[in-house]
Amino acid sequence: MATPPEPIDFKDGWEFLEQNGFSPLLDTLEEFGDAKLTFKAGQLVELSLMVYRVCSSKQSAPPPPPQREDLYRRVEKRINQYLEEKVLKAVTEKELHGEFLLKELVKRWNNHCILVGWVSNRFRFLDLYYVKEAVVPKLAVMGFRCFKETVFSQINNDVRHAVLQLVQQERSGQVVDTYLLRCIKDIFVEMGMNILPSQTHESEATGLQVYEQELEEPFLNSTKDFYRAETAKWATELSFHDFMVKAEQSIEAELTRTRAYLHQKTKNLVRKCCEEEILKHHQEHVLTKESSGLVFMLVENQKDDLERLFRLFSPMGEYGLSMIAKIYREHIEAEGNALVEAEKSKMEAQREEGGKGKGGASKPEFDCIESLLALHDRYLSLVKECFAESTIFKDATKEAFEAFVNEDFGPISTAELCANYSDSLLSQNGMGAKMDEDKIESLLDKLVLLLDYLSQKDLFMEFAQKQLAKRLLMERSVSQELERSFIQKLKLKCGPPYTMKLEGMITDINISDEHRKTFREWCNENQDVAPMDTGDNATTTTNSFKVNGIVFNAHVLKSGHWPHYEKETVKLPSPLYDCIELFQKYYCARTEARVLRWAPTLGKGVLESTAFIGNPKIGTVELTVNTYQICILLMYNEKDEIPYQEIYDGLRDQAAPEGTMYLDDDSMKQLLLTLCTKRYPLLTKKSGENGDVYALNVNWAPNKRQKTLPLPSAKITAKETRGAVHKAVEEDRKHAIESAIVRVMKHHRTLSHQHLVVEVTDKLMQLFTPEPRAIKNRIEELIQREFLRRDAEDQSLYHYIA
Amino acid sequence: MPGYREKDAISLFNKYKEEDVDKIGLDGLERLYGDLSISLDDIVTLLFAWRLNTGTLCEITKDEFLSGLRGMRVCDIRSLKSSIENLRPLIYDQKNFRDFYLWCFDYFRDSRYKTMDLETAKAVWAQLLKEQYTHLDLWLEFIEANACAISRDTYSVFLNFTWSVADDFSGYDDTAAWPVLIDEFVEYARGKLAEREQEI
Repeated sequence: MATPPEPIDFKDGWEFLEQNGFSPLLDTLEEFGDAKLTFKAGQLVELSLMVYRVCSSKQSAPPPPPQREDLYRRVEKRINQYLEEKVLKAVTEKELHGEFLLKELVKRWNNHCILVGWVSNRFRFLDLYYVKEAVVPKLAVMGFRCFKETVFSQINNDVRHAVLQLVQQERSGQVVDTYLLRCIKDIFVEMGMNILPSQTHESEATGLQVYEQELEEPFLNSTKDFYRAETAKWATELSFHDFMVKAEQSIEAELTRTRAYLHQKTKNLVRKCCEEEILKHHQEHVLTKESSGLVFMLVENQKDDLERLFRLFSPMGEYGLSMIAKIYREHIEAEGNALVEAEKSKMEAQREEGGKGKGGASKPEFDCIESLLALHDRYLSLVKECFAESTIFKDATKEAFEAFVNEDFGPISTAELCANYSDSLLSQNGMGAKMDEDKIESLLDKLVLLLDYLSQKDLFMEFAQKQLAKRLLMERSVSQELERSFIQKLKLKCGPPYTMKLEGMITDINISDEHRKTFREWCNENQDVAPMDTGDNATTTTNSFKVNGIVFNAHVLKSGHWPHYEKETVKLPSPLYDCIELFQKYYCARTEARVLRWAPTLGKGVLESTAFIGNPKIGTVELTVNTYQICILLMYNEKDEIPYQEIYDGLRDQAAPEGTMYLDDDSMKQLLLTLCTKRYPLLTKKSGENGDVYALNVNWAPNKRQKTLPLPSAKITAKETRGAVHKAVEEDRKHAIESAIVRVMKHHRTLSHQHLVVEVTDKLMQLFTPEPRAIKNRIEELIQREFLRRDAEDQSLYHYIA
Repeated sequence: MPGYREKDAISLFNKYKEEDVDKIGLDGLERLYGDLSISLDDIVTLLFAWRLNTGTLCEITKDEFLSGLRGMRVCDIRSLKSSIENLRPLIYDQKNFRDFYLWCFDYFRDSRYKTMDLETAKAVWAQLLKEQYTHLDLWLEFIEANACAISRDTYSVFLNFTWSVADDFSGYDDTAAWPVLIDEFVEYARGKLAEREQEI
């Protein structure tokens, strides 16, 4: 265009805009709800040009001509006029209710958007050259504001009411126009934005206020009221299962609803509201329903329901789960206590029946451990499958088990039972012999988990150590692999110091195997001192390597690793004694400053005998027996009948130094009994005037060539032994507490009583839970021994005396 | 106020000392307290021994006697009597009594052992705490049955116990640093008190 368009008088200009712009536009909007076809391209340009002409002034210098403000205000007035005359009238018509009101509103809103869009475009000049200087809202913003103030604020209560009504209808199962509701939601959101969403999103957080106040909050309140009324019915009428199904469905439905026609931020609030009203409000009531509550589900093992329970309540975190976990814990505890009681009375019954409780009487003990294992297994897998291994349930399981696992089974502690059980699993004489290794392995795994709950782990260790010693020395382990793996498992749970002795024992046994080889080589080299039987074949293998006609082997054990053995000894037959001497020479030649203390009574051996002729098919019997039995049986090389006293004396070395300990009378009789049993009648006892006489029963008919004789007191079940173990543990604990106190005090130098007790308890927890009074006793002891000193002023303060 | 004269003090000592050794023995003590007209089982005799810091039971060596009298600035029987009587109020002062109480432990203890045997301990407590501790009877009855010897620590803390714990044992905390013997005593005494209450 060559020349700029002439400015025009405001009145004429507006006349033109009204006639050619607003009027036709609003007419078509009213009629079709669309304005695309209202104007031809040229007309639009003309209108824009007219705006320009109205706004320009003859003089080009500032200030801006006043007609710009006039025009802005005029546009605003025109929009408001339209809204009042047409729109407000349309939406406030009397018979317009519910869905129809909403539909009308949406239609009017859409029209308004077109109008605002059109105004922004045609009057862009104002947006560009007026709005900023005059600090007024842009035309679009102004347009929406008009709608809010003139229309929305008049009817929002009705609209909200209609919306909530529709929601209610949908909840009761009717199909509603969700698209419509979505549009209404958008209007609420836009009303807060005040500006077109496309312009900026930054203010969205604050822009949602209208939506939050006018729609979201009322919606949440109505949801709350609805479910409060609804669930009150459910809680009384439905079983817990049905309740949960309903709850799950409802929550899902509400969330779907939120997704369909509410703002996304409302979702979490809806969830919270539902959780609170549906789940938390009735939680205690429904959980404890007698015939369908949580306990019922646990008893019936209804995993689906338990899983659903967790799924429903876990989003609430500890708030939702703590009560469930509490009931869960109490249930396990009750079940566990009942189990312990039942097993206890079973064992008592067995004890009364079985008299001394020997032989097969060990069965109920293992039943009890096995039921504990099964119980633990069940709840572990429950936590895994239904409760997603959540910490709160893991802890609840642990707490529950700790409560009853530490109950003693009559005179026997769980620690001892566990030890016996593991012994049986790992021993060739026990259950382990009949199981495959994987099975044993998995049972040991489970056992270690249970052990973790014991507050007296040291007691378990005391037994376990004795039993391992026995298995190793008697060569009764199912396999060394299993022994190692069990130790490894314990080590993982309780730390390396806990298993140090056990590992040391295994190492000793392996070193002893080395000795077996090197001893043989040494004997080969020192033929002069070691009379060797090379037999027919000069090449001797390790296994048939003989000294003095005896296949001899000694275990060299470090005394620190092994249980304390009584220094009981026995007078060995001379060939055996020679072997010991020889080994002593060999060992001393290799090491200095090490002393071998022989414990012959812990040994065992194989005797070959041709004395028993009861079974013609079997010439030589191989008898696996212990040292005592060897000594006794060898006496029968001399004669066939020996009086008790002679046997008794025969096992004693008359020349031995004073204080040498031998088997006492009772044990001796028990020992002889093992040679006179029905299954192994090697000897027969004849009572005579001068005491009993034992005669060799040559007519015994062994059914196999190899026979292993039962050993007396093979297990640590005798009362004295148990007492001794407890005493030993008690002593160990004293030392453990004392050394813990000293370590803590050494570190702190000065410490208050309370802190000392806490730290000492903490240090010892891994092994056992010390009684506060036991700690006090040790503190007093240490004060007495002048390791510690009480502060002169503050008696609850201790000082370490270096 | 007569002061201290070494000569007079020595002659006073010689009056009571044993014939062949330079110390006052049991016999001398009996005569001394007789002349002072103080009964031998009066607690003030202990206070005097404490004042002289005598090392051995029922014995006063010459050094102990002379330096003690020098410190008290007396050398004749009359002024000694009034000085000794003046020691009495010392036991009403907590700090002094505490020192005296602890000194008694070493004084009565058999020096071969670190602990005090039960009979001595009972006698010492009966003497020292007679008017001070409400439940002394209960305590003596209790240790008779439950203790065999008393350690210095327990002995020392027991005094604090009698001072600081209420007569009905309310607020006693057995997780605090009290020795176990005292913990057990409180249990015992609470039971006894409850029994008595029921009888009434």
